[in-house]
Amino acid sequence: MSEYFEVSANNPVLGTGPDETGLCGVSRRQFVQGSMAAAIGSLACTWSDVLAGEKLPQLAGARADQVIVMWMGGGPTQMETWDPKPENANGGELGAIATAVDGIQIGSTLPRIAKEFKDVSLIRSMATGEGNHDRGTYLMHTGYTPTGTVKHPGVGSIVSNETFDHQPAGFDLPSFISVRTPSRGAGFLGVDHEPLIVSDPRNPIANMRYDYSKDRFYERVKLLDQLEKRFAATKGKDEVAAHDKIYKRTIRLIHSKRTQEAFDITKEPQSVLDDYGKVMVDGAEMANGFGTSALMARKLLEAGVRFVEISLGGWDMHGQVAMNATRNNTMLDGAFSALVRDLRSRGMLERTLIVWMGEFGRTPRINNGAGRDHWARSWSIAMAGGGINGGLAIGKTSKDGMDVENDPHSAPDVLATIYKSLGIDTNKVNYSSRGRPIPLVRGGAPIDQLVV
Amino acid sequence: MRHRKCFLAVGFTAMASFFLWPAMADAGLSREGNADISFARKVDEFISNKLKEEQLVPAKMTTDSEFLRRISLDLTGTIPPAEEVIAFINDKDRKKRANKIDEFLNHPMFAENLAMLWANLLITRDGGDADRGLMEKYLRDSFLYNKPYDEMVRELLTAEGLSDENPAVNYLVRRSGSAPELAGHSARVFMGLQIQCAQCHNHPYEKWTQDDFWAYAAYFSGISKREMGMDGDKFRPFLLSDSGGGKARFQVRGKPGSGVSAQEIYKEIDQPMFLQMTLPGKKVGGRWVDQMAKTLTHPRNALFAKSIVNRTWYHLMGRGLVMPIDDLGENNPATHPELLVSLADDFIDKGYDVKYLYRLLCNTRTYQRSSAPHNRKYEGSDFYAYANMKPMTPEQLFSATVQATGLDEKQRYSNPKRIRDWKMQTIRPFVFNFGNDEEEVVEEFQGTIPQALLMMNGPLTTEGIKVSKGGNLDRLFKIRKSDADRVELMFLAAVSRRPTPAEKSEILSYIKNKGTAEQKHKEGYEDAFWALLNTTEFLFNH
Repeated sequence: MSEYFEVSANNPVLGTGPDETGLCGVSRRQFVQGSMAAAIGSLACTWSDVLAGEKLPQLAGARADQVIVMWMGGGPTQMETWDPKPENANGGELGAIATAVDGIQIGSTLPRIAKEFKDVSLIRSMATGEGNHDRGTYLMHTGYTPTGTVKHPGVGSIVSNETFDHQPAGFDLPSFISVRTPSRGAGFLGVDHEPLIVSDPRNPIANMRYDYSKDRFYERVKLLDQLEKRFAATKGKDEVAAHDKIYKRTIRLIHSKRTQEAFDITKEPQSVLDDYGKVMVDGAEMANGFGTSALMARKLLEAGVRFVEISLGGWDMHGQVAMNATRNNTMLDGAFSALVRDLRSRGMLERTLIVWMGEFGRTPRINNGAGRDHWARSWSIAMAGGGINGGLAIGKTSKDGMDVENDPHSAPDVLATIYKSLGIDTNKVNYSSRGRPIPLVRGGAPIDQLVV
Repeated sequence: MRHRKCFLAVGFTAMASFFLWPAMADAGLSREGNADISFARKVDEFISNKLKEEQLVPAKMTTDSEFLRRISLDLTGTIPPAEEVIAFINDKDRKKRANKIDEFLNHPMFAENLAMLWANLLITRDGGDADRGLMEKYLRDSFLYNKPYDEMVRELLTAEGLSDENPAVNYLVRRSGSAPELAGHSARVFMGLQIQCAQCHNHPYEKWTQDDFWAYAAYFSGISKREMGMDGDKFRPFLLSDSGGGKARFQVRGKPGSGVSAQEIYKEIDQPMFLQMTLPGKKVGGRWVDQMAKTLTHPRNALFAKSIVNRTWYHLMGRGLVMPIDDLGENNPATHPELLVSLADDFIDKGYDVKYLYRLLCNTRTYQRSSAPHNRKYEGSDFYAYANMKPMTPEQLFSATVQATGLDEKQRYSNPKRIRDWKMQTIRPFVFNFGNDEEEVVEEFQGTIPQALLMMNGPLTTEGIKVSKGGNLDRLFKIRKSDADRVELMFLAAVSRRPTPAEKSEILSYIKNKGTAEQKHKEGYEDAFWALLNTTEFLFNH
């Protein structure tokens, strides 16, 4: 018996344990193709083994297959990051540096990512109009302002929904995983597309283990299965089916070797761990938690997860923006550049889209506390990777940063760009539980310079 | 948990713990004259007429054990202990269901349960700046003494002062400083009106304009809170005050998504307006919120009574007469419009008596119908042909797991305050795992992977199913000697019913297969208990 096995798909209600013929819900033909698994003759047939060396199935017209959103919680400052104004009083004290792309300068405390700018593009003309944290977070994830009547699905759940049928047979991870951030849930798209939330990359999912034998676990599950069938004979047909679905997925997750590998960052080479997870501050080494999240995101992408959101908080810099932005930029710069380099070296960058955004930007004028307040009128986001054309700076703000001078872009524009890049039909309409039509994108369009 | 705490407790223990609660005597009984629930028959008539019209055959009535579990979860927030199920099944009184309803409505756990539900609705589970404990205390007292609903809502909307002296202020504290949020929330929760869309644009489906919204929001414009800081080493609560009555000035956004053109528009309001409603009554003068609260709770404001009736109906029947329950707008009709009107009129007529409303609905045949559809044909749940299955709330799931396993006994938690704290602490991961926004109605099974992990491998289950000192399986072993009796009690404890003969023999043979060694034998029980706690049957109120 192998160390790991999957729940058989044969049982109508709940998988009831190891089954030599079920082969983890993967057809025998597919299984034999999985040379590694076949070679060692074990039932440890996780999807990554089966499809070892193969690419994740692609959507028609897609430039990228997977997304990492780097969520900048609190509202990131554009002046100290992607839209510096060294010549203006509003620019602050940090100044600007050149990047690998002629004519694009960024904040001076982002030197490592500056080198990767051939693969990075900026949108410096975000104009969104929501200056409240909750509302801005909702808007940037859904493309809609919150109304209370409809719970709009977030971008991660939409990507999960649109790619669901394209996942390989036996794929046992959720398509949308959120690391150290709640992101936005599935709304009316339902539980299949809710994010699996990882609160701590070093201790990823609570209650994954049980302290007794696997045989005993499956005996319990078999008993549960019997009880469920009897109950379903008289009532709760839909509820039993939903319960069955979620329990099956959960049981697969608990015993999936790939899950355990994907969530276990400790086995990475020390050099990789250091590259992502450590930064130098004033000559001293410091842990970079955001980098650790980025490493987990890369591992989850490798395992076939379509959409991963990671988060760097602390951007709500109402005071001391120079000092605070320097600190955050150090973390950001280390993690972002490590991620781009790592993805490139693994041949993954060209099919991955990285999106850097927050709920809004910050006031161009520096306030009395040397900080910047909420500002949704003229701010920046960044995108990177193969899903978009790199090396561009789209849109322009005025010299003082107070106004967008050309190419204003909205939240729906950004989401439409993500969908277009992934080969998702931006004209698609979903329907809320009450049958209300909710377009994927309302009042926006993909940003042509990035995806055409 | 409540008085019916341990599932093997015999009469005297149950009685003893009952008296741990404050002496209740007559407190909170429905007000005199409201004992008559003959209107329940009328409600059933509305429902059965519609069923005939739709040519639907109603399900059978619940069995006694199904009824007891359902009413227990709905009114007291947890499942009954095994002993109580047995006593109820054996009770020969023809009025035993009506008696049980009255017993629960007059038990402190009813007030506790409603306080929890309403606190979630009013200030959300995290509570923000509001003091969750004080909010619950205010609500508990209100429901305990059956304060008329209109009076309670007026108190909530007009409260002022220090939150520890007047705990009602915690509702306004939660959203104070944001008149639009208070406007949107109060209209939605107390009248079922979705006016918040009109904050940014005229409502697409309803009649509300942006002007209506801001004129209503103006009522709340004077409300502000002040942090009282530290008093010595004691943290002072918030002081809520209201300077409303002069002029309101709002910064109103332009059209959303219009990008750069979004301009700062200001709106000044001299006199607030109540959502296109002209209701009788002289102007009260003084504070704007006083005027607003009076109008909102006025009997002529039909939406006020309809909203609470629909919410209560939803709570008990698992589906509102109007769905979603918070949208009573003209374009969202009820399944049984006349019934909703009649119930609202009756509720006003009875003086906004919340316990009466619960007693009335619980005594209907509609409520007491089985969730097993006639001939296994799943049709007509919208029309109550069979009872809707309700996913347990995180609070119910916590309490039910503790009740089924005897964990409270094990941890020697007997006083309500400690159990409340333990519950809040334990529920946090449940709430997160359920993934539902607490302000939203749960319309479908809200199971998620973390929730399934929690039920399979989490500490409550792992600790609860052990045959170790204090827990229910331990007591089971002590009190019952034959395996058949033990299995029967285990079912009663977990799913509030006896096993069918087939289930019993399945479990018995499972246990037998484990062998006779004591440890193995116990493992058999633990496995069976684990399975029971993970069933749909356990996770739902059905």
